[in-house]
Amino acid sequence: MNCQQVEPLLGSYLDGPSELGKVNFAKVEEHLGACRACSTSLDDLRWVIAQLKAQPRIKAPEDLAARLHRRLALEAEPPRENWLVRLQQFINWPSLAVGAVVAAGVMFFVLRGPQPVVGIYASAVPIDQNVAVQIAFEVDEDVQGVTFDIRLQDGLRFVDSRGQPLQTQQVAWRGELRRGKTVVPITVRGIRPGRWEILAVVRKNQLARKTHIIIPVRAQRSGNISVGEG
Amino acid sequence: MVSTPEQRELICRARNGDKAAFETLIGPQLDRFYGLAYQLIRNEDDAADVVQEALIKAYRSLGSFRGDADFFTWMARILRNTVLDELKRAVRRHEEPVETLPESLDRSLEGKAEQKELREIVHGCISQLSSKLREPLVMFDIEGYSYEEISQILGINIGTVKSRLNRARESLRQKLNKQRNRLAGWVKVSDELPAS
Repeated sequence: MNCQQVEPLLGSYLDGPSELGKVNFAKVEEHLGACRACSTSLDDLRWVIAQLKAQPRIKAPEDLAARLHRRLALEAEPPRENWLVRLQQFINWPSLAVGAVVAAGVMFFVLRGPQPVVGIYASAVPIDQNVAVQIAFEVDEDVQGVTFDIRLQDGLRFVDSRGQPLQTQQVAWRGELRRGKTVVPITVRGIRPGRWEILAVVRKNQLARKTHIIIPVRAQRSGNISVGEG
Repeated sequence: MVSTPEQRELICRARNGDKAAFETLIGPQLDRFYGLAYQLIRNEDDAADVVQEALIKAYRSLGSFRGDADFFTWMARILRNTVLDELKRAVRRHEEPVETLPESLDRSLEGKAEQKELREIVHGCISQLSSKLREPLVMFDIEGYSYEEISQILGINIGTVKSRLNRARESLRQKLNKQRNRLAGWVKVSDELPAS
């Protein structure tokens, strides 16, 4: 290694062989043993870091807690826990390592008018692969007191935060829909080959809207899915 | 990284409107939050205002806090965003930063003008770094945040944190080399020091 190659590695060199890798660490060390300029740069870097670490700890002003207390006294209660956050703690929306694919289901929810049933069809996914599904609810005004219900057929399971299938096949909760689009992300896994349905229902009083998402699960592994409305 | 059971209990109470629980939760972290804000803004009054604003934002947003994240890093992320907003506002107002140095906790340093001068030189060089490099440097080397905490606060992976930190340190070393005359007496400056 020459000086130009070594200089950018000096910071990592200080962190030890685990950062740089044994081979590069040894090469940098060898160069440092022979090059006074780089060796001096390393000393400088050590000095810089020592100066930073030696910076005195700054203490908050004594009245900061009291000021905050006075400001908080003027605050209304914080909004209650968001139902979507609660749901996400139960059923997972992970960045899965196991080749997750996404099926996007869109439900247009209108309080008045005829009741459409929307079907979303995904192409086949391999068995035992986690599939991320987004179900979007769209409304043109805020709707309070809505019941959400998501059910899976036998060949599908919800997935927990570790990416493992849960036993439960239905989740229901009460919440509200804000004007515009609300996306509920879930992750499911096909555990048996077949054409399995995710049924998402949203209810307000006597009105209900349904979306069927069909996930064909095939026995063999690999492949992606695409989504189309039917 | 997850919140402790005690924190979760306090978060739960705070979400239900218990302001005292929220204050109990953030009280032990005030110095850390203030230290970070101060190191990034370099003005005592502005740092205190930003911390207060960030904590009020956090209180209002408690409903969106996910329990599987660390509460402290969640708060620090809000603080960091509030700091960035403040810095952008200051740029729009064309304000020059007016550095005010708080008293050190280390009383042995008090009254040592030389120490103060050295600190000013170092901080002058830090302030010349881009915020992309300054943030991990301040968080890791000065404020003692872990790589994982910085990664979560800045929303970048740990490898990127390390790489930016190393670039920041190297850049700082080069900037300090240019100050070698002012630094004489603090560090042995070799004649053979490579030109930066």
